Amino acid sequence: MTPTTVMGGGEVVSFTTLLSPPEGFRSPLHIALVDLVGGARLVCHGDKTQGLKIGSWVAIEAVGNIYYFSHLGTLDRAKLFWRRAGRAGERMSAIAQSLAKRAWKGRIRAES
Amino acid sequence: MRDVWIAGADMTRVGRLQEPLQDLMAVATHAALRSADRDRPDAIVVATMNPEEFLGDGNFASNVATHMGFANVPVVRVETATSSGAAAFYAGFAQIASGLADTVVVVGGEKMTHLPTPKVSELIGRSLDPYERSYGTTMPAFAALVTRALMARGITEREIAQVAVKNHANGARNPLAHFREEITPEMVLGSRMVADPLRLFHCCPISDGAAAVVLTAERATVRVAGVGQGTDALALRHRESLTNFRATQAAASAAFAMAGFGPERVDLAEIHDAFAPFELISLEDVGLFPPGKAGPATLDGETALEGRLPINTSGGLKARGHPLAATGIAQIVECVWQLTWCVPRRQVRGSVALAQSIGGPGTNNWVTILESR
Repeated sequence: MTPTTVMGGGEVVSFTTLLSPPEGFRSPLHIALVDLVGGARLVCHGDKTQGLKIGSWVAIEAVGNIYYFSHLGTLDRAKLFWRRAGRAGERMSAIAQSLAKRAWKGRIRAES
Repeated sequence: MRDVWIAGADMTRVGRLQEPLQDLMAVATHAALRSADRDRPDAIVVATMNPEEFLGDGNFASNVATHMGFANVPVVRVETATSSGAAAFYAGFAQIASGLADTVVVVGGEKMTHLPTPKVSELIGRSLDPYERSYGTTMPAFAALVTRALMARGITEREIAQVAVKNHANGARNPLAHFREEITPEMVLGSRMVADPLRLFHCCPISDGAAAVVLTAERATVRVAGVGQGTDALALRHRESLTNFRATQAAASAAFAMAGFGPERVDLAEIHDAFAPFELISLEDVGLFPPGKAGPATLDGETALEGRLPINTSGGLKARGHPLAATGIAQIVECVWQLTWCVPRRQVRGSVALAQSIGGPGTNNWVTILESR
């Protein structure tokens, strides 16, 4: 296995709010499954799921050993790209990839 | 490979039962043997998911065989989480098909209603990936993540609710069912939220019970046409798709390949509706409906008792109940009873029945196809 570093943001694959969480967790327990930019997928906690949708962009932060998601607005997303994407060329390609992904999803939605 | 036949089948009532698990499994076994007109099997296969922690009992195959009065009959225990019953059936099938035994009893049971619900949830939840579990993910949370993705794909709340409504209507006609009351879509959609978007009435109950079948090499009315197993990664984050279970698709394709025919010959099915939306996913995964069609078909009544393809005539896990390792065998018992005209008030017409069982978070799933001859 090779350790890898990924960007601190990603796209929500699914999410739930657990109202009868197991022992050791407080209700309500917000859980999301997130696809990180860079490929990894993980389960994380958040402080709310209100306003969240499948496909929403969230920021991921580790607090201790636990990953937390928080919902990102358009401006937050733009900042995140700018801060994390390093060289100008990489920034542009990250933005282009994101736009291409959106356009592709729009096409799928239009077909179904 | 020899033909394998089901010569007898029986089960206990399902619900909150007072009897010890060993009693329930002995009652089911002896009733199944009586219905097969046999005194003693060559071998026994026992299915229990977790008697170590639910009951504090170990060495459970020997424990239960001794309790049944079969201390000298070879016995093994099989476990694949919530599909243990179906897996045990496969083990029994293999013993007959291979010629290792001529008469095998397969018996499954579970007892857990004596424990508090959070404890039971935690114990069942141990079948999930340890990392995901460390985030508080339980079976309902797993099912909720799947359901949310399913609804984004177009399945509606009404379609999901109708699964529970239909299965309760069937359970009301089954004297052995845990729940025997009919419910309405409004009751489902008004019930308390468990794991958004899943509500209480979308979820199967915690139940006790036992079920048994007698498999023989000697010809009987019902033949095992096909058995298939499918598996998938333990972690939800490693799945290719959230809205299908690869393990069910693989199990169905193996079972139909063995049977030598396709889903079009299936007349009725028992489907693993631990959570109501799982029935819709599973109907498509086994190939009984094309992708996206199971929901509308359910709303149209196609899967109701009087519909084109009756699903979960027993009431399913939702209404008959879900005594974990008993469930996979209870599904087969219902199929056998339907194929041999043993269930007044919910009898449907058919010669091919299918049972589908999900193990854990869809990691070890089974499809069994039965045919009356």
